[in-house]
Amino acid sequence: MPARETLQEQSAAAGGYGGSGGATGKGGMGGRRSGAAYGRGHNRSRSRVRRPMTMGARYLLLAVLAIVIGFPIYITVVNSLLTSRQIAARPPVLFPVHPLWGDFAAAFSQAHLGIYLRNSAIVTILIVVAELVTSVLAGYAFAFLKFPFRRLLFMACIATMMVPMEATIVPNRQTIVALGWFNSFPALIVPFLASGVGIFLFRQAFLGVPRDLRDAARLDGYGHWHFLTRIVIPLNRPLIAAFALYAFMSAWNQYLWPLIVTDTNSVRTVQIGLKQLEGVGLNHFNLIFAGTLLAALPIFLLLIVFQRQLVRGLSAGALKG
Amino acid sequence: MGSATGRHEVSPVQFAGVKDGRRSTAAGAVLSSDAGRSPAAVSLEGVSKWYDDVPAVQDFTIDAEPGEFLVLLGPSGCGKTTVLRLIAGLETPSQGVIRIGGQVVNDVDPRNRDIAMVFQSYALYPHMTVRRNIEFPLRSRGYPALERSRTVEEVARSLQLDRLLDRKPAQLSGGQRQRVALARAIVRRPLAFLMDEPLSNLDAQLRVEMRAELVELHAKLDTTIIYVTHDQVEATTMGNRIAVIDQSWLQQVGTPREVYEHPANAFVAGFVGNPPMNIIRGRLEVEGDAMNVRFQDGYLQLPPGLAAAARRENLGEVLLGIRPQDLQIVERGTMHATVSLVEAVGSESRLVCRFAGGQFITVDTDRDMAHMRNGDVIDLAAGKPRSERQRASQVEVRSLPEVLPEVLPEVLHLFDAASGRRLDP
Repeated sequence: MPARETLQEQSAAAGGYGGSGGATGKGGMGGRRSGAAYGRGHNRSRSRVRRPMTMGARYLLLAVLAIVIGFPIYITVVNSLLTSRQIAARPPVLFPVHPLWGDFAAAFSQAHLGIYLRNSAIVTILIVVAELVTSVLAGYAFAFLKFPFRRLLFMACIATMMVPMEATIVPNRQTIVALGWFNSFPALIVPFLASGVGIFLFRQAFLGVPRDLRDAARLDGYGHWHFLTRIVIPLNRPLIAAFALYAFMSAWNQYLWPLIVTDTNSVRTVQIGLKQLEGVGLNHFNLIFAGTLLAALPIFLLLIVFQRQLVRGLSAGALKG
Repeated sequence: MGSATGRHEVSPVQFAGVKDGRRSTAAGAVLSSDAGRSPAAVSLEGVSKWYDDVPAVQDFTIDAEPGEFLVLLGPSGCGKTTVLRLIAGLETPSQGVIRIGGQVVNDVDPRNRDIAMVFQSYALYPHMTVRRNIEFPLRSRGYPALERSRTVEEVARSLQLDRLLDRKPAQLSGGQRQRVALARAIVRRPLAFLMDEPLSNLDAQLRVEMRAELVELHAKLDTTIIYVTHDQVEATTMGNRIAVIDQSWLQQVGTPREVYEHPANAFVAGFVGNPPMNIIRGRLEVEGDAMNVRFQDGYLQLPPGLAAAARRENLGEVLLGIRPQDLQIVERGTMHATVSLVEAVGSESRLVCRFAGGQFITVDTDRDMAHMRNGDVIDLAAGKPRSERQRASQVEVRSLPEVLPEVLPEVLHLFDAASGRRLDP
């Protein structure tokens, strides 16, 4: 059949199931790649016409945005390398001529940053893993299984998204205290083992998996578990990665809840630890900046590593509404 | 082609061998282990399926013989796909018994029914390569890796997929995806194949090719195929037998010829055949010895056999069916119609006409009717066209036959207007 493989055919095919595969799919990576290849061809010819007029303006806008977003980060980096006196100087120092790397070590030795980071890591990793497992499983159940009160239960899951955390924080804290979990890891972790957002997100995504695939898998001899692990999850991998990142960020950056259910350093997380650095004294600004950078580092790294997945997952989610 | 393949020793390897003119002995040895099993037969007995109060399939009784190509034909929403899903086990019947290979399978899980299904959407797993797609059913059944890859390669070669094994479905054309879907079904060597409109996503030319390929494939595999379609051309060209379904009821089962020549009721008559049969509502009228069907624009005298049948049944209202090619334009006939549209292609013409009552009637003639205009009134008679020579002479002169053609019983189909049931002489 190689003769049939004309461009026309391929585009016709994309209109058929392949198209839906791509839409559900993000999994049709091959298709996406070839689609991108077409796209590139198109853009090249189009942008050749446009370039003189708009490219300059576009880069200017991007440069301005990059400065607006990048400058605070830059200043944080610079300040973490200065002395407290230099930080307070006016006009501000914009480049560290004699960088002081010792502030990072000091953040660990003087401000117990090591313990805080360890606590945050434990809490965050457990929350992310648990949220992924519960959200994927619940999302699958709501999308593919029939059981009594399915609608009602799903509504309940959605309802949890509508109630702001601040509204329930006091009773939740009392519950934690009553359970004897105050000042413990369970207090930081257990309330976040399941996520309404995650369940909703995955249910919507899984509903987009063609029913024929489920039927085909049944005939091919696969039950729900294998269908989930071998077809649904691989097809939704970008979305799952994006959700994992999102979960990681929100868990890592938690502030209010860890603050009110802990009061000892042994279980406190890094965001609270940073706040406590302020208490050390005004002349330790450089420590605060160094600690902030260290606390933000894991998220930076994750973003850099999973950039592509994140963008793809977020845009796929957006398409599905 | 090669229905030489014995019914009792069917395997994809053999059929691959036929295609390629050679046979892989290694894979053949592995595969022939259970080649001696008895042939497939799917049987439905009084099967019904309701969704809440809505019937999808009612009192369905049909057998698919071993090696048969059985087509389920009907308009969309008639329940044909539900029948297929019931056989596959994707739906459970509300009533009745389903047997596959003689075993009652009502409570058997789809995976254990030994049937394979080809979906309209192909239902390929988009994230897997062609190879993984084809071997997926073998994996779940615990075939060892070596045997899996051998079998996959044999089947792929036979369907000309061997060079595409490492591609993803999105990189394939529609026809290639269709083949992958077929390969995934064949690789399991099931007792029966279920195909749900497998060609409807292909463009017209490819569809014709794949139709021929499926028929060849069927001949080589010699396995029962139950094939769902709404396309009566597909049904009549591919099926050994056709089961016509409408509104959840089985209307008629028969060979394409039987269904075409002796439609069991007015629905089948109107559904099978292209262009569809003209169905004219009329009243029976006795005139001396003769019996006529009278409608607003004339009448038609029934041949003696049909007249006797009509008299026996004591009917008032009837539906008269005449295929477009069995209507002749004559100088002076008993039916009159006004021309609405002339489609003249060379020496053949199709006229779409209207009766005064507003009903459309199609007339196919192998004479050039390009001179006809919208609004012309023509006279019609029922009957077979005359011999070639006579017609040839009439192409030149625009004269119409003076003599009415004899009304042959086989061109008229008479149905009870109330029940739609066919009346036979």
